[in-house]
Amino acid sequence: MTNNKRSKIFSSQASHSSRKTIYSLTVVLASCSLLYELLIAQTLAVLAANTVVWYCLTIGVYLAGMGVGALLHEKYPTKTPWKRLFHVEIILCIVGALAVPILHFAHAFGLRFQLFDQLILTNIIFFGTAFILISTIGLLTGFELPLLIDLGNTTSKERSVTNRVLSSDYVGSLIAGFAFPLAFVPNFDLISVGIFTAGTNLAIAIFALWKAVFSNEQAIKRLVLCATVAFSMLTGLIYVQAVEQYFIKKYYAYWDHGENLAHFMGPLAEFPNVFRTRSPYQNIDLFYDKEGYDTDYLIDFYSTKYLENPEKPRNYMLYLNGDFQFSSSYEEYYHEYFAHIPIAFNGRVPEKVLVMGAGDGLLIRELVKYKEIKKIVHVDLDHKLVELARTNPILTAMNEHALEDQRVETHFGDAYYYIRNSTEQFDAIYLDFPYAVDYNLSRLFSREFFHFARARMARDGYLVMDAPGLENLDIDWEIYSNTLLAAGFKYVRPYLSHVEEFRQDAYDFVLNRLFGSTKNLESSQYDKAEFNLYDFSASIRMGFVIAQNSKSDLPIYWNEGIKRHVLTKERMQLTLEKQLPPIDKIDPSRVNSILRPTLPVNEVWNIRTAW
Amino acid sequence: MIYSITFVLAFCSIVYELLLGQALSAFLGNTVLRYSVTIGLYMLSLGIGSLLAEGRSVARPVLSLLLVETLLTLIGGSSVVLLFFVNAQEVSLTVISIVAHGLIIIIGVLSGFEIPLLIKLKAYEQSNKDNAIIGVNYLGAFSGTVAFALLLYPYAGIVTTSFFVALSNAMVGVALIRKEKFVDINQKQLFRIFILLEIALMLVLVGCLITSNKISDLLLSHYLGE
Repeated sequence: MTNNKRSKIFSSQASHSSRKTIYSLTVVLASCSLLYELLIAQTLAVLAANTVVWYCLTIGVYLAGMGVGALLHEKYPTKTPWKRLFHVEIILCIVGALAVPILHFAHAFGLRFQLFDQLILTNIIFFGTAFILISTIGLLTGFELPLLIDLGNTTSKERSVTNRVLSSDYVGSLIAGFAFPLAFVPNFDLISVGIFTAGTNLAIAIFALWKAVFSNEQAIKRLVLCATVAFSMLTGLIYVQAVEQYFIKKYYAYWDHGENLAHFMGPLAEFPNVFRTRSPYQNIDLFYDKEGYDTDYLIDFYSTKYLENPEKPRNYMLYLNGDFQFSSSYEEYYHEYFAHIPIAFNGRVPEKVLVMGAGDGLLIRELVKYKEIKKIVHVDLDHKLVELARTNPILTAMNEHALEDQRVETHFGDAYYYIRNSTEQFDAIYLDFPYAVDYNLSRLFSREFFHFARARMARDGYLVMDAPGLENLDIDWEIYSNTLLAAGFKYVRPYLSHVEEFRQDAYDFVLNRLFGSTKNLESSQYDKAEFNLYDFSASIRMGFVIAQNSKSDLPIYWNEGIKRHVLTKERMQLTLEKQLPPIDKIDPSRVNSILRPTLPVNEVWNIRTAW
Repeated sequence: MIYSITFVLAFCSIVYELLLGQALSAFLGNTVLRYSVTIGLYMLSLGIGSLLAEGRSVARPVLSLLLVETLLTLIGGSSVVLLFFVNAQEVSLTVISIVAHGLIIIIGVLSGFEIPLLIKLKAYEQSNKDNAIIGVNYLGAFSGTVAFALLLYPYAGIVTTSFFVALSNAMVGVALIRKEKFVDINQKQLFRIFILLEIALMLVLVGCLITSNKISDLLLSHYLGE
């Protein structure tokens, strides 16, 4: 009975305009589905690094899911395509809208198991959830295309619409492929994009509901469902910032608050809000961590920063895409060693300096202290970060407006592209990039990049880079040194930021602080104090590498007139005394190249954590 | 056999595209943009290819498929090398983008021909149950993305991978000789010429693969202007 009614309806609707409707539906649905997948890929890239791997795998699983969906539709054909379309769309809408939050939730939940060293469980929870989401959306999308082809064929008597529907589908994919990186990522948070997309699916579900032949009772039930979904999505959109903040807090607070699950999954009101700035390239997170580190009370024993400027910001953390950049309490340990050690080692102050990365302005703050430096060319990818460093009161209190120094000339763009095409010569090149957690960054540590950098370096100049991972991973040092040698540098030496590991007055202070006395304590208490000191000196240890055409034969340059808070002459000498085993023969299997990357060395199945 | 061919071809096509997307993001940065655009363009050109694969080309599927595979072996296998050469000439951003995206589209359009041709070829052999081909095609693409991300790029590198994939492509082309019975008498001559061409390409690619480290070094020193 229903079938008769349906065919009547279809024959009455068989017109040119309804075919056009099918084509437009196809375009919209194809872009929605690809958008969901790109959203998941991007969320995976943010929560697990390795952008390229997650984009590839997401697309692969999506295609496989689509294939299976299409086959399932063939196997179980339907006589009521609008009905099935309605069901596909409403599920797709719900799954799509929730995909990004679910993934964040799985990440937060997985973090907790990482805290207890149950890494396998962490990975199963997080990556398992991701693959279920990707394949579900792929599967549902697989149903769409044959459905639309069926619907198109019932509207058209003359010729098959298969090819037209297919090409509309491809156009939709293209639109999503362009819109996602160019329009959505830079301007919206991923949760909102998911809800917008799901709204489109919901609209189409309602359209299908209108077209399909349901009994009154069925139709009303489904309308109520649609209304509920719409209402929930609207609520989500209104509170999207709160939702985002909820997940950001999980990410940064798990180390201190992760043990009690019920508490951890709550709103974590005691953890301060994270200030997030979105740019086309990264999420820039700045927050105040009131807990700080256990050994924070030792800061003033090594650094004069707070003794001289008590109002300098304490315990502010900057993260780029979830990767730690600096803590305002400790950043001078990094930036003073980074800026001054190579100058001391090379024996003279450079006149013209190239600084790449370092958008926070802290390294430049150290460099502008030298009057001899005439010009600093600064290249950073992200204008949002530099803008923040110029205007945010916390950051300007730290970088002392160094980015506005007359000698600093800032360019925005890709560092690789810049160095490849620059024709200027520099006496010193500073590379301050985040650790190469994916191929997009690993090209900035590549043989090709270093080669072009060497071509821009004066013969007696130097290149210095931060070399994260150097402190504890031998394999990183092998990769850095082999790559720099392969790029043509003749002299490569690493150094670590170093403070003296043992200091009697610091030791007494620790004892007093922890146990109220320095005498007549148990040996375990002495051990604890010693461990605290050791912990502190280890926590400020950072790796750097200097690369040159030849080792400078000038004596060490040291100007006491330059104001520093941590780096004293003694510590500079201590730092230069320490050596790592030199490498004299290039091992091609260790060279990091854009042709074959050997960085990052971190595993693929590894979620990203803040600490 | 049709299924193995379908699998390998889908594998090859997506790896060609990922290679180009990766080379482009190595030269110009912004991985997310490069990958999204590569995938969008690939899907669009697949669509265009499958639309073009009507009429004459489907009427003689074996010959057409062989032609497509020969072109893919040539263009796909040399695309990475070509892109490096173009980039070595210090030409403008626009030129690099046009060449790279042009290659993405050409490879996509050629790959788009494959499915309709394979479906037709399958129909010659047995009953017209064609959706398994589409499923195998998706499976091949899936394997391609996994292999590229986890094995080929980090362990073999882009130059070796491009030779390896082109070699697989050429092998499929040569394997089509077993379908010679479906070729028209008056096109057999042409068919054999293309088979010979594919065999020649196959041998060249084996050579390339053996010396791929040397070729990488040469390519690199040219690119670096040494």
